[in-house]
Amino acid sequence: MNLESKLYEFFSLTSFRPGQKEAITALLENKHTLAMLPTGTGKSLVYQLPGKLLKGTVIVISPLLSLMQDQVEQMKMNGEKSVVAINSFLTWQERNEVFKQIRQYKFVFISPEMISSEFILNILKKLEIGLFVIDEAHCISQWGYDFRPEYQNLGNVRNQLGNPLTLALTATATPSIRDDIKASLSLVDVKEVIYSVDRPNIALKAEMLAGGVEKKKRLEELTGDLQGPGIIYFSSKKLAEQMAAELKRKSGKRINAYHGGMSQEDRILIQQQFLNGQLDIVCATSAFGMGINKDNIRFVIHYHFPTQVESFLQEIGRAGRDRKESISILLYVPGDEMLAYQLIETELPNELQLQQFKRSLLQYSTYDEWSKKELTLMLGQFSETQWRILAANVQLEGKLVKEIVDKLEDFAHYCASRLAIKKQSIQHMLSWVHLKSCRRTFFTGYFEEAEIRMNPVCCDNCGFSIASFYSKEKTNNERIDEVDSWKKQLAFILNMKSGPAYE
Amino acid sequence: MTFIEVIVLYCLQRIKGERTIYSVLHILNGKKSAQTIQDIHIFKLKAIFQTFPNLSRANFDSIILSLNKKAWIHAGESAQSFVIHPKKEESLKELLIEYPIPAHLNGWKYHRITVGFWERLSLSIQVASHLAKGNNRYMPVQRNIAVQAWVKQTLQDFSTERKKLNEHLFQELAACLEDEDIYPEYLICRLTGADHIGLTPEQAAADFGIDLSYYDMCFLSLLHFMLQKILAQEDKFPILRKMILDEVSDFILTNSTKATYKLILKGYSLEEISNIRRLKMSTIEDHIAELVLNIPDFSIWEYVSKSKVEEITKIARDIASKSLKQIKQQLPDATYFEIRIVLAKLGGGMK
Repeated sequence: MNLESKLYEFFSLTSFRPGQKEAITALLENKHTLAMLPTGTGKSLVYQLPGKLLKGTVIVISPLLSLMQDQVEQMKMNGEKSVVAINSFLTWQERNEVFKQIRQYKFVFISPEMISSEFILNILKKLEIGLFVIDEAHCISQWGYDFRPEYQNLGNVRNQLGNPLTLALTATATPSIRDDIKASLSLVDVKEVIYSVDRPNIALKAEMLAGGVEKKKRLEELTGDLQGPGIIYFSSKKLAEQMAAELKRKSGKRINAYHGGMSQEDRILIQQQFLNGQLDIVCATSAFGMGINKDNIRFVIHYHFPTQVESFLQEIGRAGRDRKESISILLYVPGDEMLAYQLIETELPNELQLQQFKRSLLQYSTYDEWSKKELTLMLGQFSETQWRILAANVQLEGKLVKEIVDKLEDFAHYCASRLAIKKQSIQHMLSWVHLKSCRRTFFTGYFEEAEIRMNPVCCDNCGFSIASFYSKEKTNNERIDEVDSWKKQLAFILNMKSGPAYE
Repeated sequence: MTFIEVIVLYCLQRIKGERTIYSVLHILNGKKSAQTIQDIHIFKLKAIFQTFPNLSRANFDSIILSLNKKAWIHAGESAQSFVIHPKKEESLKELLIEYPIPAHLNGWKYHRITVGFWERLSLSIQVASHLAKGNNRYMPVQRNIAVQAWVKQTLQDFSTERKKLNEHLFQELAACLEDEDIYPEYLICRLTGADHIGLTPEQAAADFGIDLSYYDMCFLSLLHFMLQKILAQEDKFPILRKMILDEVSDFILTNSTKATYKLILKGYSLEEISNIRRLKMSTIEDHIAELVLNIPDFSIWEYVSKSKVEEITKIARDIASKSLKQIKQQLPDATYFEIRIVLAKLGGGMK
């Protein structure tokens, strides 16, 4: 089979990106495949094309609701009609409708929680499954930063579905995490398609600044000087918003914030404005970027301290997909990492909280008795995330207090080890910031990759001139002239052939 | 001073401390309780019903706090009530001249159909623009599956050439928005086409240099203007008319009230309806109050004697109050239900 001709037939694309063809060929030869392809190389094509050629339904496990929605919308946009997402966005009735017609769909996206439900699993068991895809497969590993307990059951799910042909996809996973993925899914005889995490056309820079004021001033300079389009990442919604407003005022560039607290309608608009060249810079939280296919992003700046190497690489990987020279800059003030440490500590319940919970429980004999009297009060002691993780791990309902207390011991150990892993991730990031040698080699070393060829523009430690990333000309793509009459604007929006009739 | 503060002041001025401040929040949120529905009629606040559906209690509290701090308002006699400081009445008047409540705003009449209309309109425009360009790959600005399905279906029914949909839409929109009274730019800037993505409300407000809450209200008023014009001249706007959900004839009643109303028309008493529907008597009474408010010729004589109607009316006028409690104190043998429906009728009559 000529894969290139199929690629053109289904996706109007003329060539594969690195790794795609190899992974697709393996799948078409009926080999389980683990593919690690860097961000921006079109991972989803690796299951979309085989999906078109293989018989049966393609099931895609995806961890994040927003990511799932984006992927489904993008597939629909590209003309794929038989695709559906089963997640908590659907009402009970909509979900029933989907299940009634489940056979009509070629691609079924589903969250790990949902596929673990017996009811849903029984429906899926009746299908002929052509391909079982686990996206963001590194979430399966206990040793990984992004571990999600819901992912642990996927090996069991796969088994119950009759061990269908499987594709595990990830952008970033160290060799030990890749081993973990294979073990959890009980995959033997796996074809591994591993591509370097290195993106040679992205220059790497970390800038040390004396304090918050200096850092802000430096960001203002960079915003003014750097050739756009660009993304600036912040740790909080509020900061992203404030800085967007301030940078816009000071630089005169078209800048807007983007974060998960905005309405869906607004988020779509900002994303599309950025794609369409109506915005120069987006000040974003980590919610921005997934599912964004913009080729010409020239810079990514991190204003906060990233909590891990993996997510940092994914975020900077949004730059330079057109393979032209781009730059990543991390702005660092000594002590910035403290916020990252605090953040991880509020994600997991700590020893003290668990002790408190245990003491309170011990006054009752069953969980249900306890929850009637004490639950509301206790919820005040935990963050939402903490309680969700606790409830998911210990499974409280209908249990005797004795059973729970036993489980809490294990859970406390689990939390402690998770915390240690996360702290280690921050330390890796910190040593990268303080690095005196090549920043690129550090990353490839972290993923235990072989030596890479050196780039002419590598990192600040190898030396390069940031001036080559400054804007050459003032950009002004304003397409709608604000002095135009509203009718003229309307005619433009509606794509009317211009003429005096519309003025 | 933000516009939302002005609106809250405006409401507090109308209710004169006879309700708690949260009745104002409920009106702005568009809560569909019998009490709120009654309040907007009695205090003539129908226009602003559900103008800020996402205003949270916390934000509302901070608005009240800030108004209190700036001495615009002070605590009223009953708990959780605030009234305008007498000295500030004049300043409020001036504020309302500077930021007038948009003339075409009609929250109560159109609240059920406004959002749906906007979703269909914005998506249809995007689709029409892309069709004209011959482009079928784009991100829809509306993700609601029902809205997407509606647009698809409507396109299939569209008799003339699909590529020309943009021209038809243009003609209808141009005719609809051509009016001295309005400022179409508030809507146009939000629209997305093949080569241009619309603004978010925040961006639009910033571009026009106005407060976001004021922009939101002007935008809403513009949609209400369109709804009114389209429904009044259906033949002139065949495509736009289709974007309006077809419940115009009875959209003012809640579903449960509709069910009660059907039984009333069959001649059942309130007790019987309460039994048949297995609902509390007080719920049925809420339904009656809603019916009185919304059906101009709904008769209340079966539920309250003529003499009591006169007495309640007189007291309400004398003490210039619409507080149920105060009237009840003056007229102990009238029930709250009787007072409510008489007040509702009075409110309706003052329309």
